[in-house]
Amino acid sequence: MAETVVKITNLVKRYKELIALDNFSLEIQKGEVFGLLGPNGSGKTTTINCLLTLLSYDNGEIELFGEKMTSKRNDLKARIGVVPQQVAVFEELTVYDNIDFFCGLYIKDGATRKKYVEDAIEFVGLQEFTKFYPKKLSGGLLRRLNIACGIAHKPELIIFDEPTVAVDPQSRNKILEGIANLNAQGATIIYTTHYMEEVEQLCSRILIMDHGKKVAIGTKDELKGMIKNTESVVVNASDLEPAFIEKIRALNHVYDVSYHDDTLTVKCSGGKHNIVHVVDCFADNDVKYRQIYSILPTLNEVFLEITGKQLRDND
Amino acid sequence: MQVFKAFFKVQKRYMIPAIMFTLMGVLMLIMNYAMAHRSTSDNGFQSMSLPIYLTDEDQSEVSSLLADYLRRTHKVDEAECSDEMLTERLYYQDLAAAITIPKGFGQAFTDKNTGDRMEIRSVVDEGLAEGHMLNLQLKSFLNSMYAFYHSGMSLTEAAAQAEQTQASDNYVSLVREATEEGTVNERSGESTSRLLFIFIPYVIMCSVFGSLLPAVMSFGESEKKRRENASGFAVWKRSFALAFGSLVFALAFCLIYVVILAFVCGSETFSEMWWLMALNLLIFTFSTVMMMAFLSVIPLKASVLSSIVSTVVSLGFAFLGGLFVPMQYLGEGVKMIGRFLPTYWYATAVEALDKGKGFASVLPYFGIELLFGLACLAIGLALSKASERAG
Amino acid sequence: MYFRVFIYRLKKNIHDRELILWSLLFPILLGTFFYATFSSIYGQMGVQTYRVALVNGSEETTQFVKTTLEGIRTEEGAPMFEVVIPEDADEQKLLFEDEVAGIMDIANMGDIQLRIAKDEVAQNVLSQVVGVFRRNAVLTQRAMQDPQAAETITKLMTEEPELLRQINAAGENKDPYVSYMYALLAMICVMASNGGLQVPIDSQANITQQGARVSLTPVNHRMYELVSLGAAALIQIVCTLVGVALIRLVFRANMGCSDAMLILVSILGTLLGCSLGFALGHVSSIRKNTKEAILLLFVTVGGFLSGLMAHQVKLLVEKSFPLLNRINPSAIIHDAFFSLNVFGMGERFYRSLITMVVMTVVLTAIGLCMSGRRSYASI
Repeated sequence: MAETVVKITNLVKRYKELIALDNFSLEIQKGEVFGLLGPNGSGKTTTINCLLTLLSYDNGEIELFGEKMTSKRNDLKARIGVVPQQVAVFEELTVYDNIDFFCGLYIKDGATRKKYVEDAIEFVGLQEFTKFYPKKLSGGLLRRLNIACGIAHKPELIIFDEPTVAVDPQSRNKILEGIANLNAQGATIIYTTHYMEEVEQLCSRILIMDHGKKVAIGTKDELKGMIKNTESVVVNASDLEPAFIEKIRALNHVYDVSYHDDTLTVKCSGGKHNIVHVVDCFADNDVKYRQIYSILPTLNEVFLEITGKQLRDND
Repeated sequence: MQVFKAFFKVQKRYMIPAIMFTLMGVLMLIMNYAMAHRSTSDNGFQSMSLPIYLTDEDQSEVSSLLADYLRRTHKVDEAECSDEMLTERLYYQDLAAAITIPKGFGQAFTDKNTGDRMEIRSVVDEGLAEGHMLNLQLKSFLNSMYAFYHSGMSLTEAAAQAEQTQASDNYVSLVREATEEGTVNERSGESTSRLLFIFIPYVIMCSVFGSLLPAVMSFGESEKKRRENASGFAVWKRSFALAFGSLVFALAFCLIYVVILAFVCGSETFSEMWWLMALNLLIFTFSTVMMMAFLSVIPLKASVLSSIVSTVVSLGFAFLGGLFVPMQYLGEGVKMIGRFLPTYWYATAVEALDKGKGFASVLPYFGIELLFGLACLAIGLALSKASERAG
Repeated sequence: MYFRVFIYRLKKNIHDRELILWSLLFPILLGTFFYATFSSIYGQMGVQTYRVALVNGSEETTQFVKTTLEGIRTEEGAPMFEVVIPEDADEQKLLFEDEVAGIMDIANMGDIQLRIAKDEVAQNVLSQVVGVFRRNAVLTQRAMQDPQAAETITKLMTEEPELLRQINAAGENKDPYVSYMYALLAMICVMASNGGLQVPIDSQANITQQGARVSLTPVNHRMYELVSLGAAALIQIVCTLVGVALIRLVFRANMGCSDAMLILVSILGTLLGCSLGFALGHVSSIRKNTKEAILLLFVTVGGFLSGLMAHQVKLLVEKSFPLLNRINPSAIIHDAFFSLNVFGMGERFYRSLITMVVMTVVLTAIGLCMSGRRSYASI
């Protein structure tokens, strides 16, 4: 049985009248890349801050590596690395000095620290910029420096809080590759982001939270299975008769059909080989089509369906 | 109007320094008011009345006659005071001398044979002319009294005769130079208005640089400026609104002090001199706002620049311009530098008004203050344009 | 580990251009302004050689008065008066153009008149001297009227008894304007609070991201802050000593105490300033801007109360609210310099020194106590 790295039980955090975390519970196993999703204000950062004991909480328990986490547990803190959402480095220190400074707060041995710092620099690809001051770095390089400062001490649990915000595709790719590598090397990752494709690419398990509560948890396929639309079949065809469209609608597992601008969209809920059934229906009725393809639901759709489409920052 | 309103909203964030500096200004007013102990003399010459501390250990007829003479000619403090405090007061020139009449002095004074063995002790700062003058006067009085007494007068007669021979109004006349404007040197002392008006520019500078400058600078941040430029909102309108907003606040600071000064200047309030001093302050405030326009284009973080300017520049201008130290004490070199600062011309105008000069005399000083402001404004605009062009 | 923290905090502070600029610019600029303003004032207030014009006297009386006046010497032995005998009739012009301090009309030696255009020390000294001439005239007249007393009077006029002993006031440097330099140094020391304030800003999770990152590390937080404070203090001390060096080595100002003591007080004052910023920085309920404003209040109002803008203010506070001088950091630092100059290394100096050390320790301890809290209700 895998070791539980993070265990949060019935966590409650209130900001005066507002309940930021409402009996929130969570378990993360060793070696997982755990995605934490949720709209703005859903409680992701509060969860992380409570986990790190930066925030006090009203009720509940937090265990890390099987032991109760408190602000004084320096032994546990030494096993965690954090990459905060905002770049948290000293403007007045060079790239090398920043990484060395933060790594030095964890690693006492000089030779080990030196090696770790060099590893971190190489890992994020900042070899050419070690003497640069943060002001001189581009947004992407700055994000990479932010990561290096959080991971240089080779932690067992790394928390990434939206590490790719405002980063160009090349840098983002580099960062995501790096995170996957860290996981491959044995680190457990907690990853929060708004970019669903990143979660799809990286995370082995995902938790969607809203209003301080857990809304859904599982692998990406499990989450996709939780929504009504499991597949959309799209057909490009001209002059389809309404009677024919009704035949399509009558097919098994089809729950919605729409036809606009020579494009027929058939939405299915569950079932297998839905595209074959649609193709057969076209052939049986001798109706011609130019192109037919199937679209599986994205995590984005899952997210929007579960959390709703209402804008949250306006609350 | 949009920028003007926004400026007021942004300014709210910087109200703490504004309130703080205003409180400091009021505190300074109170302190200066408390220190304004010298009286104004509109008449002829009066022998300098100096603050002295007197200890009469003797309590004889001689010592009481001497003490009475000192009380009539100087400001005598006889309240209990520790030696440490006396030393401190002498150092700060709060006292010109600490005089002790030792026990037995009276007896020795009246005894012709022992008179020269008993001495009054007078502690003065020998580096100051005031102390020498005081001792010269005291010595002269004592010797005269001694001479008159030992030549046959009673102690009371001798003291009266000694005082009479030294009464300066019998033989000193203060002459005045006639000028086109009339007679100058009409006032020889410092008016309350002078003492209180003279340092207000320092507080105005602190308030303007400490609270208005960061607010104005926040409108000059490059991204905001780009957004405003992109909006098609005329640059001159924006600058005008900011200048107008700053001026409204600065005038409010100025008004606070003018109102307080109206209450504390006593009989001088609303006199021609008082009004002209208030006008001088108003002009200086205008000049300071224009100076701020120049400072706001300096490429430093607003909080840092505002701290540097509100302390270093304000203090520097105040000292070099003669706001804290009377102009007569400033060295030629300092005055030379001061001539390039509006504070110098402000102080010069206050001093001239204090001496009874009229509007025509101080008009050029007002003009120079405004010119300084306009020059700063022009440089500020030029620098702003240059930095915009440079991107 | 903490040595490395110290080194990096030092590096960080050195590269904080605005902090360094602020910490260096302030003493250099204001030191220069103050020196330019105050260095010559005291010298001008001393006894000088005053020019006096003699008019309407006969050749004999003019010569007598001239000789008498030129015989009067200052404590240093310099002549107190320089006599001018105007040749043309417009002697008044000399008066208005400040060529002479006064005009003595000696037409009648029994009734010498003095004309002046100003009411300053020079004119007062002159009026006292004229008073002596007039007294002697009265005594001479009395001697003539009373032949019995003539001998006594003549003796009294020629051998004046010593009835007054002038004692010089205490102080190594009696120039009260040097107290502006003390106030300036005190202000520089208190301004070191900006360096102290930066320590909690960089290490408190509820203030900055860097602080949050530091809070997550397994270091002893108090120790980390103490070491950071040490680094900040070192930088500030160097900046203060630049100011001291400027005052002593460039301007050669006489501060009334030995350089070693000057440096010691400056260092302790800077530590006090740093600890003030450090303690205030930990008050989590106040915004950073407000903290900076409060420190500015300490610097300007504290400076004003310690005599930065008018040197007598400190004395006025001492007379009216002495407690304020015991708790105002600027006044305490100022008093250490002042007492060294005026009273030497005595009780008062040690009192100031001990107050500075105790305040530094207390403020640092308050900061450290508050820094122990590492979880916040909100960030």
